[in-house]
Amino acid sequence: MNHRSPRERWGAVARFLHWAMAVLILGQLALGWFAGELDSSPEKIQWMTGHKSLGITILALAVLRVAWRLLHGRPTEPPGIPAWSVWASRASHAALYGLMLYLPLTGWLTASTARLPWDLWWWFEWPRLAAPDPALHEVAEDLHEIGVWLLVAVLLVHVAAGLWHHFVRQDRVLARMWSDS
Amino acid sequence: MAALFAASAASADTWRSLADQSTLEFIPSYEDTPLPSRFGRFEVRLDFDPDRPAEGRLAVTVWVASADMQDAQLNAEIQAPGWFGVSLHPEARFESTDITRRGDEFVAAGTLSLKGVRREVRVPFRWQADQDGARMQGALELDRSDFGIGDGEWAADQPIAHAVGVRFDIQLEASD
Repeated sequence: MNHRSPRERWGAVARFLHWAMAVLILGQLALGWFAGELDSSPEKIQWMTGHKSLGITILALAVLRVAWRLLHGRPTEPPGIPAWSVWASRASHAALYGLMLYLPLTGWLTASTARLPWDLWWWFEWPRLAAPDPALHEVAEDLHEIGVWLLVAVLLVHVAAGLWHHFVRQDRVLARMWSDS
Repeated sequence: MAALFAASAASADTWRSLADQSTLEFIPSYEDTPLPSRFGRFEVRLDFDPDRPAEGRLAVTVWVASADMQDAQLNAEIQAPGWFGVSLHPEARFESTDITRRGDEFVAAGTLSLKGVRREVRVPFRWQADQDGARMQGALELDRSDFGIGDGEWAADQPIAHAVGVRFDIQLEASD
């Protein structure tokens, strides 16, 4: 089976990564919000271990995804897309690729600069990007939270755009990410 | 002759800790990983002659709010009533009732008052003195559940172990 994206289609790998990561990222946003709101407790530590573990998993998939995207490119725009839409598409997708690396990395730095260690999926201790440091921890945490708001904003645009393409313009942009037909 | 001996710092009886040259650590364990931490503010007052340890007296005051785990969130949490409860119990104190020699080191037996609970503890220490001052170093282990530190949902031995190490390295100057 040829995984390379043909001129007008997304390949199976690209489509799988898109939807798998969409589910994981939406879940992670919910998990991060929920766990973050908990009062300090042994349970909160477990929820946060889940959040951090999912974050590293998303990071690994994001790296894979960026590599795949660089290797295999993207389909061409369908005919008749207005120039502003092309620009918005490029900008928001670049932002999404950037954020799917930026958010796990700032999260990793936040966890690294806290004192307590943690195990990836409760299995083995995940290394630190930096040593425990209260000042750096605060900066990393702020950077991470800013990224969350940016992601939510870009995701709203992204979802709205997908629906606009499908229901208003009635073109194939959303359909070709959904299936290979 | 007696006056010469009395004037020598090595036999001076009363000592006080030098804050910037002394450390007092507490070492809790999280999932079996020790997390060495410090008390930033404490004071040791000692009447002690190594040749006559039984006449000695050790008094330690620790300002518990100065606990530092190198983590702002943890530092805030351990102040709370479920942990150190610093608003009701700002100071921990040790007062010795007896000091004895044990081989190369000494043991100060006495009462530790921590979070309003009084317990008998034994504090071993090694002693070095010269004309510039004295140094006492030692370590012991306490059970945090004896003092109600980390109660309720934190009361179990995991993730925070009951056993908490204490380690000190105190530089002392002769005092009156």
